[in-house]
Amino acid sequence: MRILLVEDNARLSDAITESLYKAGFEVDAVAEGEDALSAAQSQTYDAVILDLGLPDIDGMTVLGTLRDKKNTVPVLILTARDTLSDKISGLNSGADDYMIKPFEVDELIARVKVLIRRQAGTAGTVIKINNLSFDTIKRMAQIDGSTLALSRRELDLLEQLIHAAHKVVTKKSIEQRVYSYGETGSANSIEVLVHRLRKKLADHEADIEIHTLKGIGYMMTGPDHNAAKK
Amino acid sequence: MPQKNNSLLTRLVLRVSLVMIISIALLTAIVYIQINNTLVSMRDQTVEKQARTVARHLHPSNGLNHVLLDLPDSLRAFYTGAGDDYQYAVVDSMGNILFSSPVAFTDSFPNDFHHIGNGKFTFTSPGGQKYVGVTLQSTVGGRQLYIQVAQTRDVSDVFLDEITSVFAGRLIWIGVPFYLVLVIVIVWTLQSGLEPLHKAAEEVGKLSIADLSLRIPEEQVPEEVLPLVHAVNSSFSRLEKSIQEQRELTENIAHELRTPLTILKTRIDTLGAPAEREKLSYDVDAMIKQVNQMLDVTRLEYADTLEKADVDLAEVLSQCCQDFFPLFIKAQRALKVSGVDTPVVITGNKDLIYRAICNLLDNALKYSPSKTPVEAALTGHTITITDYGKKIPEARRKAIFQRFQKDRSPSAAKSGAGLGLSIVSQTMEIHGGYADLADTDEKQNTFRMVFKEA
Repeated sequence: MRILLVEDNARLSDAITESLYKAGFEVDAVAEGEDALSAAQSQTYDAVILDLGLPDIDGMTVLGTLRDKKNTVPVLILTARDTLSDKISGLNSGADDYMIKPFEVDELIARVKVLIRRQAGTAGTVIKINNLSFDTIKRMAQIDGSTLALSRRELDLLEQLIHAAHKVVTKKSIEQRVYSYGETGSANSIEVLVHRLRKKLADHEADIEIHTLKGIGYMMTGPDHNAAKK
Repeated sequence: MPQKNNSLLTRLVLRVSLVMIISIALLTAIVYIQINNTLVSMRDQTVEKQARTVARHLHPSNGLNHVLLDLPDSLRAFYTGAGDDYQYAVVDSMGNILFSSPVAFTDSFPNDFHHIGNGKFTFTSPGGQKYVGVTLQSTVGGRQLYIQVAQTRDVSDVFLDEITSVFAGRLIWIGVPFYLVLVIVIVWTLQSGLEPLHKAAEEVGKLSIADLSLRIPEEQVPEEVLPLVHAVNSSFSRLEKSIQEQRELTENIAHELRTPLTILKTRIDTLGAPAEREKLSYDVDAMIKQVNQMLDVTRLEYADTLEKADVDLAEVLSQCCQDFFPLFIKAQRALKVSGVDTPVVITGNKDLIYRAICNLLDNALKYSPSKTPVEAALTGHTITITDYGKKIPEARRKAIFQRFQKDRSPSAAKSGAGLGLSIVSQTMEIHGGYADLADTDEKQNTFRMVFKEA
């Protein structure tokens, strides 16, 4: 897997490159926006990590130019923490994800993996998290090779959680996805659905967890995310 | 400056009034003296005129004295009826009295005709009355004669007193209202003249630390005060510049610190030994947090330059909780949210509110024991973050919202510059609300962000 890292601070760029390399990625690191654009043109990358504050052209402009050229490579933006509004405008202008500096390298790697998986998913391949694999075309979930017997709604839920791994999926968006137009579930139908999925995953000793953010939604993580676990 | 009365207007009015009273008194005195002088000279002229009248009626004759006094009856009657107020005498050079009025204190008349000078004389009658008179020299039929006329001085004094009292009476009736009107006009003039100063003072009153760009307008300010206003304005400029510089310095330091900290954090994450890595990572996180809070504090002080728009409190609270959730999972803690299903829209700054909530969530996570849940709720216009950690004592409830007040117990030597809650508090102030710690009997701490209802 090849990643383009666009970061003007050489020392930070080195540190990120080293971590990505250890995680098994090939990394091309450039310091300027122009270099980033020419690199993206001559080489196909699985993901781009783009710092917004670049010396020559603004990171947002780089992103805009990429998208204008119909380049659909997943882009993760690195930004200073300063404003929430900036982050949101970043997402609206074609970025796939953002991270605020300073960030956990582990989380950066996890997020990049999610982006690459999602990109692969849209292309119709198999998404894998730890011992769970999900085939988006056959709509089939397997744990260590054995197929899970899941209902249509359970599959919908699992797919949504896998795509957004390490991030919270709101109950509202699950409802919209799981129920077709005009259909409504009972008050706690989503809770019941999650409960059933959790049980099935646990029964098959899946190496993943579905966490509840009570009142908002759910988040799927692999144990690798729980680095602080004692 | 005297401390008891610092009003410029009052002092000016008092002084001008004093000057007016003095000048009116002086003017009255001058008028009185002038009138007196005029009356005296008029009296002298009258005496002289009478002497001439007498002289005109002296004719040479062949009679006893070779001179005849031919006074008309009216004049003769005047001298007869005047008692001793008016009197005359015609004397020859030898001092012989040729003619005199029915009553005449001729003994008191001067008789040294060699030194008559301007002819004026005064004397006191045997009755104690004061007289003024004149001696006039005249030659009648070759004889040198002296006509002496005298009249009581009191006559004119009575006249003078009369004039004075009438004058004074009129003066009071006309003068007092005139004086009052004058005072009113002066007060009004001074007041409107001082108006630019009042305006300048009002402008200065409007100054706040947040708006350092304000200057006292120099257009309307009187010339006399202009140097003062100018000096104040230029010191404002210097102040603004230095505060601006300080703010930029703080911001730059914070910004500059963040990059090496990010690099440091990234490097630590790639270290081998997990236990060491954990500790170092924790310390770096604490440094990063302090730097971030430093930036927040700097910005909050210039909050009026921040943009405000419609903010959905439900959305912001939900976003914060979602962003913080991975940290809760990492710490194996539960986070419960309620009240975020229906929008609650206020006018405010989304980023500030977001970071204020983050600060509360961060504190709750940090200062409450493991395994206990944290609850976030939106009720009406109030956001609450509740933890089940050690209850903050009543006495400390207010103090913790001040800068550099941190922690709850001496044992919790956890990181944080103690800026977190002051950021929350300032954010709420900017939004016209307040932050506090709810009063509750339960074993819990409920931090509230109470927004003003639109």
